[in-house]
Amino acid sequence: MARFSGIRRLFRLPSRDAHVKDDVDAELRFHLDTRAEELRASGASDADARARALDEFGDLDDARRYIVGVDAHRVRRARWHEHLADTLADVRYAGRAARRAPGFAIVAIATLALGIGANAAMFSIVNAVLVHGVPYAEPDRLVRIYENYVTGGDHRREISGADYLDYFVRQKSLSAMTAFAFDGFVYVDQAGAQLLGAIKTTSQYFDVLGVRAEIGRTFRAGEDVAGSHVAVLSHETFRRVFGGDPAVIGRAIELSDSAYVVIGVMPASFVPAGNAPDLWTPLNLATQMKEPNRARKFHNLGVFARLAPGVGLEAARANLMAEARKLELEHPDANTGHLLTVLPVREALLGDVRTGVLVLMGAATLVLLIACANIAGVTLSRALARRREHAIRIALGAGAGRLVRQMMAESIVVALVGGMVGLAVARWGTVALIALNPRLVPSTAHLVSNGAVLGFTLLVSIASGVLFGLGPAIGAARADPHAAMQNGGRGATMGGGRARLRGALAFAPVALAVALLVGAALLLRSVARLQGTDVGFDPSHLFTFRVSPPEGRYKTDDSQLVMFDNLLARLRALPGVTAVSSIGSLPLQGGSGAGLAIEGRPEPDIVPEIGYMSASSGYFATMKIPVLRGRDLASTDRATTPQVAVISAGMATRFWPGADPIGSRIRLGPNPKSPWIEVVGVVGDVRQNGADEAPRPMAYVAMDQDNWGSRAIVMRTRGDPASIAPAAEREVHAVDPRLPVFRPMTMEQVASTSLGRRRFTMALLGVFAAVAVTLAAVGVYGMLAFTVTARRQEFGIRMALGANRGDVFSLVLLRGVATIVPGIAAGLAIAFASGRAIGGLLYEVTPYDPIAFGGAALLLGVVALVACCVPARRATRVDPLVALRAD
Amino acid sequence: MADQSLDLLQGTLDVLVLKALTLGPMHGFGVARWIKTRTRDVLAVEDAPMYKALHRLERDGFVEAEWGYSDNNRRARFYQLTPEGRKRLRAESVTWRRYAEAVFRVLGTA
Repeated sequence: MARFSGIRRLFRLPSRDAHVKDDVDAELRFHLDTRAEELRASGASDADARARALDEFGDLDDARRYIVGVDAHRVRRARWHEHLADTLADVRYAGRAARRAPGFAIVAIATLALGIGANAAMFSIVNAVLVHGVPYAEPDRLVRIYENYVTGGDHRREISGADYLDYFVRQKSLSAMTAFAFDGFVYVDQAGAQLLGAIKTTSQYFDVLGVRAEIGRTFRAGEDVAGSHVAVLSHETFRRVFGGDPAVIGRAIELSDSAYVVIGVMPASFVPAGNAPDLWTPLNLATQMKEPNRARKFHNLGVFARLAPGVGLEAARANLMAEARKLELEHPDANTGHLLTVLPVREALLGDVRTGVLVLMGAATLVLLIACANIAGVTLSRALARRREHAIRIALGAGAGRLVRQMMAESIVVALVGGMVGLAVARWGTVALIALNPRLVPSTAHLVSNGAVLGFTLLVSIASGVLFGLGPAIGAARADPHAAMQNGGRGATMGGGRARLRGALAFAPVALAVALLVGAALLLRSVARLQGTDVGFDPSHLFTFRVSPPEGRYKTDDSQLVMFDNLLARLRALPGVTAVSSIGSLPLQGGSGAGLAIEGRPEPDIVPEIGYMSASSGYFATMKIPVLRGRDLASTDRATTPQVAVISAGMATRFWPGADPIGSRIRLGPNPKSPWIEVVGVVGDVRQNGADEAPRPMAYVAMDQDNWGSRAIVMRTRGDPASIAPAAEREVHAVDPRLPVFRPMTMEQVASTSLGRRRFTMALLGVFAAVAVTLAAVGVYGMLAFTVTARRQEFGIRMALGANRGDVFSLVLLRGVATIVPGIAAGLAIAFASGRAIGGLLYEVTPYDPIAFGGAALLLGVVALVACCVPARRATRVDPLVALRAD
Repeated sequence: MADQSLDLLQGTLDVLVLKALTLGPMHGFGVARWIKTRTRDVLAVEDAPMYKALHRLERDGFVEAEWGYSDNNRRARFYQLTPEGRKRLRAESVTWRRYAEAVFRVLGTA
């Protein structure tokens, strides 16, 4: 088609099928007319000639229809080809444009890579946490049931065994129920001893959740009651501990010195949010039921259930609540005040995390919007600078639509390249985030559904390209060729509409950056508050780890106590160690509660709950918790001596207001037959449940008199606490080479883990805010720099007419301030309006904290003003003569 | 485009149309007249199938068309061969000759 292709382009293809018909008719008419004329020339009458021409032709209507069909097909195909060729040309043109102005392309691509990368990284996390964090079938029908112990201030408490069994039999709104409890096993192989986290479950567990084993099987009905020693491994454990060898199925492994047969491996995708265990074993409720006091008063069972077909959440709640009220009446001693909380599983598992993740996703979106506004601003400036080029193209006959398409192609090509680089940024960012905080971000975040992340990135890239390209493109297409050509396409002042658009494109980033900055400042202040709170002990120079003697080998309390005495003595003898003690669970990491009875006082209707912890001698001295009255726990508090307790100051003032509790006797826990315990000391309050939770009344009993089995060891060191780790591990293995050292870390690490989620959110929001502020400053700078270039002649004239440098400087600066001040005001308004969204993440800071608002406004104001000064100074250096002579 | 009744004729017509255009760009009426002149006594060729063939050949890229002016100064659609069209004509001519020779051989021996 070489010869006609130029012509075809000039006389465009028929654009509609009607034109095809017209062409066909014209062609056929020409044929018939010419033939008729020929016949007339040879003497036929007019009517005769026409009739014969028609007759010779054959079936005219059929031919016409057929030809129109064939031509329409050809034209459609040709149009499509032309379209494709145009698009390719656009892309090539975009590439050339990018090469001509590599600075713009690089800055735009880098900015977009940051914005899109942040979004892709957050999206992979949102996807991993909120979508894949609940790896259960039909999660909308799955609920988590807690006890709602309102009088104890606890809305999410686990359920007791006896209550669970009663609900299991009596309830009418659930189709299936299962209970589980956390446990741990010691596993020893060539690599040494390690603690494997376990979930013990009733047989129905996996069926209720609707998940199947990847290899082998899960529990069979009855395996729980039978107390079968079988285990299902997580995919991670299967891979890490057993080398991914399927031969492990059917093999017996030793867990805490008992043999368990491995029956199955769960799929890699089964990593439930919250506490993903290493393995699952059957839970035998019968052992718990043997002790009547533990049966109904020991709250250790987590419960999952499926709503029965046709039963809604509210109906199930009502039914279960009615059963809870019945149990309350039947067992007033154990169940008074114990109602139920029924939560959809998604809310139960993700409720705490969701706010943080969504706030971060929102922040990432803002960063991308700012990036788009910036690039749109620069594109608009360039479009004005390229007016001559566009005007020539329009004058040469390029349609406005074609020009818009071409500029959009440029934007989208830049955006796609930015997105590609962004994917790399996201990949790196996600890995870095996982390394930072494995608790909030599941370690599988970078694994799950790369396809979804890829699709998301592609979409976001194209959307960004359209977002920052469309405005400038339409602006350029409207350019009046005459005006642009007349003044040489340079030195022109902007039209009012476009100047407003250019202003808005600098204004929006300022506003959004201020809003982000306020959010980051609020979280920063929360974390600062938390770090500044007195946790009640001195976390510096403390090293800690957990030791859990397996009951298979340490069958008696005595054997465990002897082992621990031996270990603590060895650790105390280490050089550089000033004090060593142990406790049931570390401060900030949570504790357990117990009902309180005080000798000589009538038992109240509702038994008060207090924190309850078992510790060994010298605990308070080791932790530097002040002993306010009486004494610390001592090595003389043995199993054979009278039982003693040390209570917290908060407990003393609440239960012995204005009196001295020393010498009083108390009883802890539900068993009325347990012996009275004498209060021997009062110590300072400690934040046991986390840095952000106020201390609750606490009682500490002596470990030798109330052995908890598993303990956290605390060691106070003279130097760097982490450096004692190898020596401590050596001593543990000298006592028992098959004992694992679990979670070795410094107390400061424990404290920072307790702040983890908030600090993580703060750090990330801080990074987003920093990027946003930088982009906003660049945006303001870009706008002013362009204004200065565009108004060079005006400044030249002003200075020629006698304006001094200061006047010009303040003129430009004022233009900047006119964008910055409203931007900051709008940003503060946005922050104020979205206060509620972030409220849940804050600690002792209101979402309307004036310091955060003021600080954000001030910081952005200063940065933006500095950015204004550069173009303003340049304006003062305009040489009037040169400026006027230009063009 | 299923009109099987034309199958035999279609192939024949295509070759005739392509051959006509070897003389140079020509409008449909010209092609028709050339074919009629050459075959008048043997084949009765109607114009309708000839136009169908022209447009089919155009769609398939064997000929291309352009509006121009005829001798009597009227707008007419002119067709000319593309390189693909020449190639097709050469191939079809060979096939036709071999076909005809084969048929003659058979008839000659009869």
